[in-house]
Amino acid sequence: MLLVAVAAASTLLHAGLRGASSPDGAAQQSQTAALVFAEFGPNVDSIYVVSVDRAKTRTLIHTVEHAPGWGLNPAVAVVAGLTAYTVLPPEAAPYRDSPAELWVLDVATANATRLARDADLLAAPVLSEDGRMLAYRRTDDSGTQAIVRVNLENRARRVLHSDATAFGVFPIGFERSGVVLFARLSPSGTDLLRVADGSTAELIFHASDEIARDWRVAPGGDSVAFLAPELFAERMVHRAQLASLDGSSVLAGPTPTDGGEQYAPAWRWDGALAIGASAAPLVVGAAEAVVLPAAPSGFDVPLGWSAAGDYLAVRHFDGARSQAAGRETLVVIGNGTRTTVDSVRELIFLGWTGA
Amino acid sequence: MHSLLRALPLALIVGVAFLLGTRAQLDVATACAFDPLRPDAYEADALRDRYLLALDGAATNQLFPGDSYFRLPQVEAGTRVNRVELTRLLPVEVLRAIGWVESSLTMASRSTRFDSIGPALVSFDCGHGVMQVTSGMTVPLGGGDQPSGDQVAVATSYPHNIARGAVILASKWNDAPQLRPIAGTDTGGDPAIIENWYYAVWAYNGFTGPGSKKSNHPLDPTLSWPRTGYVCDGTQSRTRYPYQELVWGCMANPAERENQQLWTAVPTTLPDFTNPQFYDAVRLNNFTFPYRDMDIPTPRPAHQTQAPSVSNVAALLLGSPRLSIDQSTVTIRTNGTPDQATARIRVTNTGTGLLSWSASSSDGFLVVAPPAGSAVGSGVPCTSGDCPAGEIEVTINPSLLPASRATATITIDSPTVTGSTTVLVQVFADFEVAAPGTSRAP
Repeated sequence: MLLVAVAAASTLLHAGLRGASSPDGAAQQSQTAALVFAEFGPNVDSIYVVSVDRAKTRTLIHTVEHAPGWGLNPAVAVVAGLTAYTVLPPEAAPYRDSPAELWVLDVATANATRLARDADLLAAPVLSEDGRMLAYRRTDDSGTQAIVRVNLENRARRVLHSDATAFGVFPIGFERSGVVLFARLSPSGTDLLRVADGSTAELIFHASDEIARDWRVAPGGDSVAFLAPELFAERMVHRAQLASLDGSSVLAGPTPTDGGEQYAPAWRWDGALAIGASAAPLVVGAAEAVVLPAAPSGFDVPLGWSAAGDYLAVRHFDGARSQAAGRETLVVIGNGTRTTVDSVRELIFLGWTGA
Repeated sequence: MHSLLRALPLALIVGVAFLLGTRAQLDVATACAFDPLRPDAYEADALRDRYLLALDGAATNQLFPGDSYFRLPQVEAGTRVNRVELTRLLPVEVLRAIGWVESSLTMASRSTRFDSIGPALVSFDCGHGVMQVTSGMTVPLGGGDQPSGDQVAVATSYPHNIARGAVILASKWNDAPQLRPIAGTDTGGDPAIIENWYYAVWAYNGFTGPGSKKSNHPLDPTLSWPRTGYVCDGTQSRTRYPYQELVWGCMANPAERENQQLWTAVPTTLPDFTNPQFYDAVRLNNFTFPYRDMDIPTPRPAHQTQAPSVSNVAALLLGSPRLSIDQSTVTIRTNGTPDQATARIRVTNTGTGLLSWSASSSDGFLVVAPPAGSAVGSGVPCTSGDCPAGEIEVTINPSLLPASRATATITIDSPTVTGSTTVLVQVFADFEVAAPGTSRAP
């Protein structure tokens, strides 16, 4: 993978912004940002909303029963007020390969709708930017995997792509046109592909000879960020990568000042990108420099920005690096402070509502 | 164990299922050994003392040393060029944690109280009991399309179930290097080092690759990364961990009941996948059968197993059960009161320890439920449920009844004691036979 300077990455970031907008942000500027998360329970996950200005008061909006020990697996963000998740229903055998249900939840109304009962638990669903479509993965008894698109207006499901791959495929997002993006693992590495209704899948680019992960499609759907492993100072570390979805460029993200690991990227509505690093996340591509407050020790893994970009949710680890990650907490960074969401249980980030 | 039940063809079938793994490659549509019924099983104490003792016994091959199906195989050691068979021992620490991950160390369904008898724990893919044994439990393997004695034992007797789980784990270890990679290339593949069981534990749940529906690949992109260690206390979802990390987490963080840790913590080390020595092994292009390029050194710091110093385990847990039933003839009347339409036979263990039994009917019109179960003898706590006896409920399927008067037999057998018992069933039924194509007037 080509190493480039921050400036080059920023160029790509801004290129990726063409046509980007902030529908949530524009519509909800008057609302306070509120974090949406699930608290894992052995048999029931509880979904809460907590406003950033009332951090100690969380509101329970929904509960999700599941097979013992197996919590819900959510989409990467709340989109247009919706979150989606796969989950093993309570009566399912508590194994990762049991057929999972696919649900979509309207955060404002707490109205939950089951969309499918043949989903793969481990492959998180993805929502389109307008919240009208969703894509998920299912695997049949022969091991063939399918990328399935769901029209959320009529719940119609359509298989867009079937793959008898040696390893697996994963939906990672939508382009603005509604075309589904997915990653495919093979012995030669990770490829990014797109598939439109009625078409065969098209290779966009070869992302890595290794396992690329944590794919995040930019606002506007023109570019994508992800992590790919590389050898650095005799260690295998993940580095953020940026790519345009026209396939014209795949670029390494900013070189970390300490040469260390990078963690999941998170796009802000304006095309700025937070990249996890030792101490606080780096924010690149912003019109103005952004310096986020760091914890005394450990590192942050970005999860998602609030709609207006004032707050960033992260998974904070108090260990030194990925292999010794230590204890994990859910933290909101904003207004120059860090606020930990208290819980003795695992917290599962779902996204943001409001501004 | 009934050697007659292990005819060669059946052994071949079992062997094939065994090679397929505990859960791997199972057709979920395949019937389980007891389908559509479910056997009963004894659920021991809440502190799992009996299960933990059985785990100690299984890890040291003290439970069934003379039984080829339940005996621990010799565990191999060495690298690819100098593999040799060693002793019949495996790390009990690993076995305990697997038992916890699989079933929270329970033999019966969650509705069954401790110290009692209730429906056995059976998963949708035929995983049975404490160790969720799947291999050999997917179809009836006995004569007359009935479960075999081994299947009855695995489903109803926790010592047998745990011993069988240990056999499967040992076989996963012994699959290296022909079918699986070796962990511990720098320590002679020493099975006494717990960290060297990384691949065997992965394989216990299915040696599945990245991207698969049931992936246990540590770098799978569907699993969150980085991830804090699994702490085995019910506060974390299993969704983001590969199986082997659940087991590692439970070794390091023993489960607690009644403010007691159920076993001693062992802070075992996972492979460091930021170290190219380990990372290279699990690269995508190496995940190809028979996985020759996936060998790894021992993750450090390494931990030696502490072999349990137990003795007399088999006598203590198995005792000397004796099969007894409360009647030799029963009558079913479908033309009498409702309670006369069902006959009940109590199976009692007049000896000690744990008795496994199975019941089969000579004719299809007799319905026997449960098809197998447990009965506990003196010295085994059993304070609730149907304890200490097992109860068989006998009803008829009228559509298969040959005449309004019929007789048949039920044979009650045990895989753990010799001899069987037969109960004569007399049926008196009144039923109308309608002519085809006619219907009763309203």
